[in-house]
Amino acid sequence: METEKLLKPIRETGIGFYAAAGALSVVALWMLAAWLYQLRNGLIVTGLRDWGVGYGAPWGVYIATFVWYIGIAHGGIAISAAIRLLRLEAYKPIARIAEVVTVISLMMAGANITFDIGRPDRIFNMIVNYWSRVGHSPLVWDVTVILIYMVLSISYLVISMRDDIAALRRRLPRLFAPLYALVLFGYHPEEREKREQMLWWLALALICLMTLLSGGVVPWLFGLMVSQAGWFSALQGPYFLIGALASAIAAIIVVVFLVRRVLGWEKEISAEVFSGLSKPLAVLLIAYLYLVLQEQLTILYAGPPAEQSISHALLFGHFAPLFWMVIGVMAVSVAYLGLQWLGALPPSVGRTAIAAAGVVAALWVKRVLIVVPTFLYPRLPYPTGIYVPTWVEWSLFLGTVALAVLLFMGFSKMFPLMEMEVRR
Amino acid sequence: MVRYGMAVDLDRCTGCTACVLACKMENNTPEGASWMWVFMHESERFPDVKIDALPRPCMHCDEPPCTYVCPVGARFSHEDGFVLTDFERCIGCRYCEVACPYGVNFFNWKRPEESAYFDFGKEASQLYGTGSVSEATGTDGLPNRNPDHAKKYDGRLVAGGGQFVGVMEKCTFCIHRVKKGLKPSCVQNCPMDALIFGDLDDPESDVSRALSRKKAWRLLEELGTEPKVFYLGGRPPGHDVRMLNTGKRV
Repeated sequence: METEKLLKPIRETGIGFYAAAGALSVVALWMLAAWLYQLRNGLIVTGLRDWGVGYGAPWGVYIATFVWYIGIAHGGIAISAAIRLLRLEAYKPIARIAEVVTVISLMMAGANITFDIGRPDRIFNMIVNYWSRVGHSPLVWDVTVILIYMVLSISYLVISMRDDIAALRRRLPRLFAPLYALVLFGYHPEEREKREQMLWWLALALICLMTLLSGGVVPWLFGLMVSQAGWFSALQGPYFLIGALASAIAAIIVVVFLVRRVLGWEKEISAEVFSGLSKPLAVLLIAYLYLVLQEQLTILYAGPPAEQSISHALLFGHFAPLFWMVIGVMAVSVAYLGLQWLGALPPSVGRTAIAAAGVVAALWVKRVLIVVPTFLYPRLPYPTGIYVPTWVEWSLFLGTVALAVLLFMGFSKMFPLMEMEVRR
Repeated sequence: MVRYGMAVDLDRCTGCTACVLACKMENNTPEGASWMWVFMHESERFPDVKIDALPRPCMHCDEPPCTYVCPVGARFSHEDGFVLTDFERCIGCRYCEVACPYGVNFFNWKRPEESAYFDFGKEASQLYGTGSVSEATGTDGLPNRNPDHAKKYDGRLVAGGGQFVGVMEKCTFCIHRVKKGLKPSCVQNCPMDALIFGDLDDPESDVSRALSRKKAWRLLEELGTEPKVFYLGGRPPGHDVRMLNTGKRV
């Protein structure tokens, strides 16, 4: 890509950027205010309550949003790592965008966990007691793998940027010079070969870790709990992994679409990138719908009564409107993407992005439907629960989305969003 | 070493809920939290309708899923068989509540001064002016507090309810009473002697003798939690029972 065009978003900032950044900052500040309100009054300000006698759900939107962000976090680095390992040169232009999405999503996942716990001031107890708990608690496994994933993905992003920053350093804004100095710490022009080796191994490690995170420790949070009907299943691993990859690819499609639109990079990011990404998305969505069928049929047909009541609530009961909306959005998206793949419909970048956005939203609702229903229909003869998220929960959820977009926009003003042409 | 456990004689229980209230009085639990709870449910159809009462304390399991999932070791098994929460270590993730199949965990959603049946926070200051509660009663904390709850056992703060906002609490088998040689409050206050407490490892204890007299069963035994609360007589609640009482949403 031409250097001038690559540097344009960094060197020129339009009124649109300021307007968007201002609006997003307001939402992010609102999130901060809502969080302080929650810290002051306790989690009573949320819609969460004890299950059973308190007829509520102790986990809700925060945990569902955490799972959602972890899922999206895979997109980036997994796509970028796959591009490197499999030498998919056609997708090179979106590699860095994807990496940034990963790092930001991981941060937002961490934020949602912090919102969820009652005593964030004591969070260091997890580190103090780490060695005595890591053998037992799936939550500690989660923290471990997420921290490793975060360190590796930030390293990957920083190491892959060094060459570009070194070449462009003098043309980048002086305001962020310390940041560039940090990225270029110990830089040597002959480091290229060593750096490529490091990136290759990091890519391999990240692909392996991804399976352990979204197909492992996150589903194990739920799948190992024999206490809650509808969760205890070996299916959770593949089920979560496929959902995570689908939401990740869909989120990357949406982000890349917006970047391409806003920066006018139609030439640099070709339409083939979108049709190429939509194919694995379609396959993953079909697999996901197939696993939903497996799960629901198992607990509805043969399951003990407690399991049946969960399935009943999802398919025909209280949660049916949400459940069928999720299935409907996924089915329409997969039908559209499939017909486009088969050539029955003309390829369209815009409509692909709309389908992808639908999938991202549907998978957020699906995560709520995994977490909440089991608490509302307990095994013992407790009253049926209710869970309605309050304005605090919506504020914190939407606030993290605004903050994520804001961080991405901030990154685009500091670092080039695309790798420069590989110079031999 | 002792291994405390409880037997609940359902043939004697009338569902009077004296245990529920005794627990609330003894442990100062917040509004809506019932560490002891009595399921009241009916089953069958006229003319065979049956009404059952089933008291439900914490099961103090020998294989407690809540302790296994705790990320900080705040929920732990005491050597005397209690399953307890270290209120000073808990981070409030509520994973123990998720992992427990019995629904015995109660989170402090509100600040303690607002979670009691009388709001010693906002409401009291509106009625009597700021600071008047501690001044009027000459107490340090809330005037309804049982002073035994400030006591630590093996260096850990584990007794009593309504301790801190944002931490998990549940039935402690009244460790602060048992350590003094008293029975748990629910057992002490049962007018029918339906609740029997004692050392399961001592064949001469009340609870061991009660267990040897009648066939016992345990709640959700199939989940492998090995509860130390045994039910005598009665039957496990089926999934089709009709509830007669509901909880309270705070």
